[in-house]
Amino acid sequence: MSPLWRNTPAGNAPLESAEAFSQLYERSHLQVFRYIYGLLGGPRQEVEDLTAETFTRAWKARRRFEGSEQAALGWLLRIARNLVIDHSRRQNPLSLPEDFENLLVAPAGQQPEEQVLHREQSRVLWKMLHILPDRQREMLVLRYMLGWRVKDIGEFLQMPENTVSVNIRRILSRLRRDWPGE
Amino acid sequence: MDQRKSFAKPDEEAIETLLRAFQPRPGERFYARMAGAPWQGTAASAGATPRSGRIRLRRAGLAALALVIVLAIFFTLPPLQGTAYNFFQLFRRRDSDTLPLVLRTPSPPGPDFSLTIPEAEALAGFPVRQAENLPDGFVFNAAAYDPERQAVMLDYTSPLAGNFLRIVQIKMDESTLNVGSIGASAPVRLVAFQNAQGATITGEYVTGAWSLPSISTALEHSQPSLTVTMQASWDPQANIHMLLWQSEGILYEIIHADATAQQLHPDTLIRIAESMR
Repeated sequence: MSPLWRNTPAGNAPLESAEAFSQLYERSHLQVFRYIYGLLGGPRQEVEDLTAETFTRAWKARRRFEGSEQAALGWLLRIARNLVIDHSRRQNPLSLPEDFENLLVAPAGQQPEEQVLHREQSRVLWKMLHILPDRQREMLVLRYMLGWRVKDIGEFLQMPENTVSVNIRRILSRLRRDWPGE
Repeated sequence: MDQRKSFAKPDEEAIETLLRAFQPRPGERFYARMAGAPWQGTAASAGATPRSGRIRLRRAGLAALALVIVLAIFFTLPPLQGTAYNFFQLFRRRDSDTLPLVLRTPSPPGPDFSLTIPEAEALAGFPVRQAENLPDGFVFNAAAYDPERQAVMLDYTSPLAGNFLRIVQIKMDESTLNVGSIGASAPVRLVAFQNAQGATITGEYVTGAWSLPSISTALEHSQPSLTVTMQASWDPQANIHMLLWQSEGILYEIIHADATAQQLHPDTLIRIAESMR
């Protein structure tokens, strides 16, 4: 099992000190932020607030965390997921974030026309991503926005690796099939 | 712009590329807020005594410095004036088993591992290959980019103390001569494998590392700001091994430290190399 989320004891409260927690924050805050952004869809300010709240809650609960330091990332994402679920119940339907283009990293070597196409398609995909069922969206966020391996996603979501792999292929296929404009 | 093209259905591979390009980052507002978080203060805020906090921080700093030194020697070594090298294809064999190093405290910042693969690719301008097959326990942490050497570094973390794994990918030009420095006595083993693109590759494999046994003593008694020149020695017994090869204009280097020494075998690194796509 991946060390990311197994609950192997690694001493008492390994995140108790400010130093240990600060290191965890430095290493993981981008992943937590992107995970929340991917699940919620924006806007940025709310994603930032939820990211901050994730770490604040984790800090308050740090003495109860007994896993290895690496397992803390899975723990943080579970806190984040619960916050997103609570938040989504109160949220209006998704609209594209005002600073949508700041989400994107342009692939290297694109011509201007390709960049425009990339942005157009990204807008379509972002909307499609956020009408997917929550679990399907979470798989894509973990796989592509956070760059996790299928094996690690399976362990985090407690699903067989092969199931995750098949599901991701199906979701991609469905996105392609349902792509608007043709 | 061709409107038909803009609304064309991307295939699944293109959708994957689009998904990978969603890489938002927090803004200044977030970082300003988090700068005041309770864990960002002194150790005293966590209930530890200031003295123990200082000791821990110093030790953490030393560990980080030692790692920087190891990594700097392997793939970010600046040109050393007055040193002689013999070339063994890709690895650079020095003419002795010692290496003079100028160390400073506080140490200069190491690679900033805060990038995703797409971000590193965008900065580097070449495709960055990610390993699918990793030694047990390792997970991808983040990437860093060194613009001076056009080098992308991928960092993988392990829960086991003393273990690390980094994969370096460098666009080959004159600057790539600054990688893979090894001691004069280090045996280089040629290994063959097939990469994920189907090409047969010949790589160079070395076990060992440069070590600085007196670094802790020297720096623990130092002033906050100090410059010292030290001799690193090539240690063939170090639990570190490396694999270096080139393909399509890119130089690849895998550096793996295994504190248990159980995985110090060429097959470990070959499996990683074969899975890079």
